[in-house]
Amino acid sequence: MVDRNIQYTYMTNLWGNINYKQLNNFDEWYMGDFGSAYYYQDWDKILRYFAGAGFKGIELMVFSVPSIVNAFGSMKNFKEFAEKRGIERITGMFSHHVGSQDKRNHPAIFAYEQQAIDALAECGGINLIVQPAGQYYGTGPLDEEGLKNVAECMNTVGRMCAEKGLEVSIHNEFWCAVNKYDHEKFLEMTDPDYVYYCLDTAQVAIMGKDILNFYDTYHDRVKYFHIKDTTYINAPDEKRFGAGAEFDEKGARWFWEPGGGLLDFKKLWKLLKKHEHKGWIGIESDGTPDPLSTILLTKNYIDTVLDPIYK
Amino acid sequence: MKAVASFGIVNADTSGPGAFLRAAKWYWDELTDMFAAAGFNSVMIPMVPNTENVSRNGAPICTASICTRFGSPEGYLEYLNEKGIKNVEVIGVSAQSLFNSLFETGISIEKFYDVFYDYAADNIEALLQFQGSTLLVSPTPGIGFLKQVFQNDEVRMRRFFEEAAVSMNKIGQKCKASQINLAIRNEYWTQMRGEHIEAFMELVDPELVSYAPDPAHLKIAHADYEHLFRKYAGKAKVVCFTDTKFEDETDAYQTISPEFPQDGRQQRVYYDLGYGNVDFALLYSILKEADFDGPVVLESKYSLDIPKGILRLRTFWNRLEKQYLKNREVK
Repeated sequence: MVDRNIQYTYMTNLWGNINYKQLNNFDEWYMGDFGSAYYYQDWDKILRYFAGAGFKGIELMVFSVPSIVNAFGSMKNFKEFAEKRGIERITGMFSHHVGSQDKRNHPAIFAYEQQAIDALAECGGINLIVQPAGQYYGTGPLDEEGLKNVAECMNTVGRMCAEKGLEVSIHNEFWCAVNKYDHEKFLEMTDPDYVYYCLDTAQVAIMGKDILNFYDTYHDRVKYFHIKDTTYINAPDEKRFGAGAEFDEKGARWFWEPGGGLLDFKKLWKLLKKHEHKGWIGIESDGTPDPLSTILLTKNYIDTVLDPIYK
Repeated sequence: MKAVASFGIVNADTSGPGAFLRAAKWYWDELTDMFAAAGFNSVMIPMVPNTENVSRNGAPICTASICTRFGSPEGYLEYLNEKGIKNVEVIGVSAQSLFNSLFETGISIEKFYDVFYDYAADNIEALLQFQGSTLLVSPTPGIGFLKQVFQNDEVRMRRFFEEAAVSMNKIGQKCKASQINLAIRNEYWTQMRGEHIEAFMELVDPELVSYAPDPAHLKIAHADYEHLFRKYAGKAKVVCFTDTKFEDETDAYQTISPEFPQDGRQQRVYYDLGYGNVDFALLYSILKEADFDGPVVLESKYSLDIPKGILRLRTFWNRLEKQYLKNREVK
């Protein structure tokens, strides 16, 4: 641990929604169905898969908080349960600011985010990762006032996070109302003292941005990452701005494990080295049809390709 | 009797390989074909409230997601018709689903049934466009959740139960004006459970609200499902067929994780129809004897193998009819 500048944490959303703390009876899930459901429904095993693959941190989706509390009683209990299985830190939580372009929605967003912040703080987290507005379809393009409101909302949540010892970071989806044409402008409208950036490499590349140039330019703001690959760089507006763009109608896969697509992670890691990046780096693999394979392929890529460049 | 296959066979909030992809339209394209291929031309859709996170996905899980992908419920019906499904006979709405959304919406418990009415009314409109007959309602959230919210205050729990009945009457009036049926479904972990079912039905207007017995949930709650089917078969507008082997040894029904029991050796609640231990031959004969000719919602809730589960639904239904005819010949 001490000889590394960066540690890896894995966003758990590739599994879906995990409802059980621990399954106690294999036969109940096997006999009569003869499938593998027993292996994929409880935190006990899923946490051990991450730890077994060498990942010491995890991130959560805000939507998981109610089911985690239902299963464990509290986020603190969940944290202790995870630690016993080899997860040293619950580093982050993803949330969203749908409707933030309209100031009238801000009080409800702040109330919602306070729940997320409290939950993240309770389990010893670091970073609230936020989709800054709703989907582009039905919301974008944002006018100056709308963009300003989105930025103000982010600034306020940044200050709310700071009160709990957390940080907030922008996570810009390729289908978000904040998009290609105002991406950097939006970042610059937010308060650098309170708002950081979580570079989701695939999302930003699909949006049409050069991730290397972006990181090199904004490395002082990019404190967090969601590392994932894509084969679909610079998707046209009509693909990104359509209804429900995140889920392709015909099932085309947007996101791949690093090394499975076209992004140049070797150059990105050289930049991380140049800027002496330190801290947790998140891996996100939403949309994989086979989480375990993706987790193991990712770890192997880190070990054989990324670590030799910078670790 | 009309067999209606429930889309509740899919747990959209589960984990495992491919679980995330259940929100994709292509997944449902193929699944819809499978229902038709298994001989079902009428379906039931459990609808959750419209929230941002589910509205953008491709699953027919709420009216907003249907409008996002198909323009309107009518547009979705055209799509179903092309695939061989004639109508959405039944829409399910659930107070627990609404309760689950409170984390995201921030709506207070005091406004619960006002919002529930809007959620139901939105789905009544969808049901009309779907050319369906029945709104199937689970009327209260789980007992464990309510105990937490009301801090075990029995008086407030009772008041909430009564508010639920008032709300059902109001929704019933809306249904009546729209010429569709309103049916209440029991779930073993809600206030509409076991011995409280008949008490609840006494609180509602029988002209507006009917009861749809659900055998797996009755069995888990140690209610006499044969008695309730016999009592209500003649006046029911819809019935549910669900199966289970689950014995609630740890009183999961009053926890905040009732559908996913966290303790004990038994944690799986739902089984594919025919794979639990509910006596469906008995229930089928009761319905036949009562000349019940409404929809029977076949729900293998949260099947572990969905394509196989859909085929099992057809096998289950075919066998029931055969067995019934065979038993009549013997008599």
